[in-house]
Amino acid sequence: MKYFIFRKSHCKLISIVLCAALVAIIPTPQQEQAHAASGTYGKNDVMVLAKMIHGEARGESYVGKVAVGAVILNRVKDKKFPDNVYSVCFQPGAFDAVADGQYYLEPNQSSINAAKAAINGWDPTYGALYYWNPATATSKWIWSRKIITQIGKHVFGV
Amino acid sequence: MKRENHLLLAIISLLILLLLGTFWWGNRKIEQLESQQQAIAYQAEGQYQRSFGGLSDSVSAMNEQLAQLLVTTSQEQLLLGLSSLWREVYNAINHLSGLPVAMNELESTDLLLNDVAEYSYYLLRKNVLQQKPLSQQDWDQLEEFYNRSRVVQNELEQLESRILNENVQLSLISLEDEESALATTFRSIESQVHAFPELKFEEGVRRIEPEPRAIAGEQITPIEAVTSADTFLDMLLIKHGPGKVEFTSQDTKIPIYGVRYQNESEDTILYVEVSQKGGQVLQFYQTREVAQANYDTEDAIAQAENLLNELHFSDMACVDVIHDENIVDLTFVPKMNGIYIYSDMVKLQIALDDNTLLNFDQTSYATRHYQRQLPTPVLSKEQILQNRNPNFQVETVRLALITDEYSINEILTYEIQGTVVNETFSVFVDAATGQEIRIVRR
Repeated sequence: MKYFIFRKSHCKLISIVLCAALVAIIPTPQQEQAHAASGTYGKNDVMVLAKMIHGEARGESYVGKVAVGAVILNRVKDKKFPDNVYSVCFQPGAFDAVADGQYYLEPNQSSINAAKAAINGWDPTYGALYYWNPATATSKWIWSRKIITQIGKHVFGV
Repeated sequence: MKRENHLLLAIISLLILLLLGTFWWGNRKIEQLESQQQAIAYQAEGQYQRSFGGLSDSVSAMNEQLAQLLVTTSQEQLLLGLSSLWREVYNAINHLSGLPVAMNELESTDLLLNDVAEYSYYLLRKNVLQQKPLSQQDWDQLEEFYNRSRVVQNELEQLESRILNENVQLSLISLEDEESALATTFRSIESQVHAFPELKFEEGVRRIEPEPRAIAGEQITPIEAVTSADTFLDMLLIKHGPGKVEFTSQDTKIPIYGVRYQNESEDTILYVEVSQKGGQVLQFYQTREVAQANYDTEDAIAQAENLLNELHFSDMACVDVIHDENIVDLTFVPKMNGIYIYSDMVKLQIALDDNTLLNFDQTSYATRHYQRQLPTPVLSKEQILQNRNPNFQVETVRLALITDEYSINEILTYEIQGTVVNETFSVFVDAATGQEIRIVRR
């Protein structure tokens, strides 16, 4: 399902919107410290995660969105994947939203909340490292994964 | 007649010219667009080539470093060799993560790199920090790493020369295409590394996550799960409609039922996760907009303590407060005999607009808490505070039981909280040996 076709001309507009959004959410120094205290995640990771969730699962329920965020964070913790949010999201070919530009849409409040919930430790997938849409999955190897649960359109597995 | 003919001819030639012009213009635009797309494709390809070349180079450097280590005798060279190895292997891991994920044919290679990274860090800790010499087992392990990385290096080099000679574009590789020659080569690396037996490390090499303790109780039905969730919400006086099980996790460490409540007003949805064994509520989440704060952190802590009482938790102490806009995240742990037991956490998130509970998470408590035999400290507070770093302004000192990162043991420590410049830190010092175990930024 595509709501938006990403073109070069949109780049500038989107980047302006995003910059504005980022400026709006940039935490005060006091909050920065607070985020640092929560451990391994940087202060902008919430936004990266929110954009990823929005690009990948904005049609899903709230719990479905948190689940996508949780999968990204589970990958950060897993040895087989890069060890920070940015690298996991931008691993070439890892997520469709990065490949088709939907990552660059402005995330809504629900996606931002879902990102925060995931960073807070909510993992409705209980440790899943992969998810896919059984209706559209083309890759053969994805079916070799062990399924943990299904939330909305996505199947979650390890 | 003649004049009209001339005019017609002129118009026709003008139209033809215009048409030709449009063709020419359109064609140029298409060419421009194509070359732009080509440029973008080459840019992506360039990144992949760089990652692949980088991977090949750093695996080769890592292999050389392992060989060097095997002939090292002096302490200085050992330290330098181990730290170079540690750096080189992280380089390789970094390059590997820049390759298209479709190449998950390289999964075993990734695991090997991670093993080397962990082991070299372990040897650095052991050799430099604890000043223990490398055992025969350690030398054997390094040699095994050398042998394995040698195989990977050879394969990568062959692959690299094929990519160069056949002008292979990595962005065009489809490993889905089983017949593709490159896919076969990737699989060959994988099968060779995979053929090696899995490495078994002794305790202390790997960071470990403690296994959750099984939650006691009978297997419950989805209907009983909704009842448990209802009871939980009622205890906390949270209004709710009828709930229904939305998802059921299988094959997970802690199997749960996810119960969802949709209130009449669409904007508040409640989620309660109930363990399938014993029917305990592990997590509670709700989504709603949080308005301007009317309460402060102190009110939130008082409210959280009150809610914990309602849920029959006793002797819980607040150890961490994170204030984010109109929301406060609080972490509570049991405090027994004056010792804070850090592993058994309960987390509450309070909205400051009406000072009510947003989220609740007792997964750590439910899967870690038990009646422990608590140790007593060997060293006194005064002994611990002697000879601390003079930059560190000590504020509070308390006893804390923390989990070791590399074993299943729990360690009794003094937690010294203090500040340096604008930062607050907790330094955990072993209450038996006086050794600094961990330094955590608050």
